[in-house]
Amino acid sequence: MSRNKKIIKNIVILIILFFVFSKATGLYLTPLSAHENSERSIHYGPSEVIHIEDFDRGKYILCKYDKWVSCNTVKRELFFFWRFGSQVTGFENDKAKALDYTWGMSYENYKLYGIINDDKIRKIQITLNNGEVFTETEFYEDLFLFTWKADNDDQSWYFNNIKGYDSNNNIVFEDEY
Amino acid sequence: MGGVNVDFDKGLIGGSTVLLILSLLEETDRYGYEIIRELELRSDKAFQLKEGTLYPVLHKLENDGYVESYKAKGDRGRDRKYYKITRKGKKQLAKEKEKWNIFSMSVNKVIGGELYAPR
Amino acid sequence: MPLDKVDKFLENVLSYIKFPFVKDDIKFELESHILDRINYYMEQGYDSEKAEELSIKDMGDPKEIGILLNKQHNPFLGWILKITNGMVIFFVILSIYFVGVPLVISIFSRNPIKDIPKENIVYKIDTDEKVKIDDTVIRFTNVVYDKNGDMNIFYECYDTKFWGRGWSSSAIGDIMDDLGNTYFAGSAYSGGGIRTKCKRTVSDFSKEADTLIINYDYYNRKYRVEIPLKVGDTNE
Repeated sequence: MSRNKKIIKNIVILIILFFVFSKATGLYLTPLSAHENSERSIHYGPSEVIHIEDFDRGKYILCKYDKWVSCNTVKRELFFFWRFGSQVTGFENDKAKALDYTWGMSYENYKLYGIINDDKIRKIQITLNNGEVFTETEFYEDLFLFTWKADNDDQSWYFNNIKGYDSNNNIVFEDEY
Repeated sequence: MGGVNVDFDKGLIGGSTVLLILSLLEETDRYGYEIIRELELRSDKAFQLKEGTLYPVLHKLENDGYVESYKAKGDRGRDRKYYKITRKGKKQLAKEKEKWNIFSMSVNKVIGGELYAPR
Repeated sequence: MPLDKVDKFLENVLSYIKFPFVKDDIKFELESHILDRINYYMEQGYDSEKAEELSIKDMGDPKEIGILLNKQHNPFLGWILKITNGMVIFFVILSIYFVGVPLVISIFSRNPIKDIPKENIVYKIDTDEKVKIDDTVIRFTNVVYDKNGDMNIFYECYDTKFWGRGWSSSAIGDIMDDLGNTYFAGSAYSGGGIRTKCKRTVSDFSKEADTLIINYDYYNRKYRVEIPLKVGDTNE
């Protein structure tokens, strides 16, 4: 076989093997591809991606699927690849509440996300156990996302309470952990 | 027996080098020196390439897929790089033979003059 | 024979060749040729020095040979071939590990049914109920009720899309019976490989139930499998 044919043969083999390898290991070339595949293999979705936010290990993908809201995480691995998210499935939105939310963490990365059911809410504020306060007025359609990074692994960084305010700064919704 | 020491224009030989080499390989696998010797013997030394220039031709034939090489022991027990014609090479050889036939017939027609003139 | 004129000639030719990995092969080939020629001349009666001289002259211009040979051994393509060869080997090894090994495990994996000793079986039912959610196929094969009051559900699980190894949950749904009971406690076992043999056990399953119901209803995926009991082989 001539040298050029060998090169082409190699490239074809590599494409096939890479595809097989990617499916077998859960490593993907794009974050969205890792996200979509993680949803399908856990039998959730396909959800509509509303917002993507970077954090130091990868990306948070804030989505809506039917009556559920989720925030999947995809992590960068080996420079080029993206790995399956963890916390793929969402929570079911309770429309009776002015806003509904959930929160979680992975090592020192925390996230709290949710959906606003009462559009009077213009501002959301969360307080952690250690007193830190985060405020958000930027929403993605009707979804919101808070992310924070802890300095250590004690509970002082846990979520404590959440408050939703209207445009006149009245509290429309309140909840505690 | 004495060879006719004809001074062939290198261009003529160059053009049919592939034909000659593939032809010799079609008969049997050979290594470089063998090809040179066989050319000398059969042409009564009319064909005498600058021997080193055979190898770029062989390597090109291999790149193009017309021949394959392998190592084996020749006579004298020394390891040698043998060349073998491939199926693609045999097809190319047929084409080259065809081209040569047409070429030599055309030349003959021109120089033959009356002998070949249409009646 | 010292042959350094030959060596010099070869070094000269090789100096025009840019792709390093092909130099040894070329040196070997040209050297063999020259040695053959030297033998030929010596058989004709020349002395070794003269034979060497003539043979080198017969080869031709080393620069011309070197340049022509270099044209046939493009370093860029040569490197691409080498690199892709290496990558193929690398990915073949990875594939053997990630695909070959699970495949072998699949073929040789033990059937968890064999874990239940025959004396413990109260009744065993063979079934063939197949369901599919997204790309995962679950095929329920047997149900065994044992003397501990455990209901053991055996099923096979595989992916229809290229060995998807994702977060396939071993949750097959809610385990219920026709009397309205739902069972939560229990254990799950999942063999490895591509066509995974699995077992789900729930404890304190009712003796009086006529039907085992496996109901999956999550995130808009639904299936319901009903397996009639007390029609299989009893072991009284």
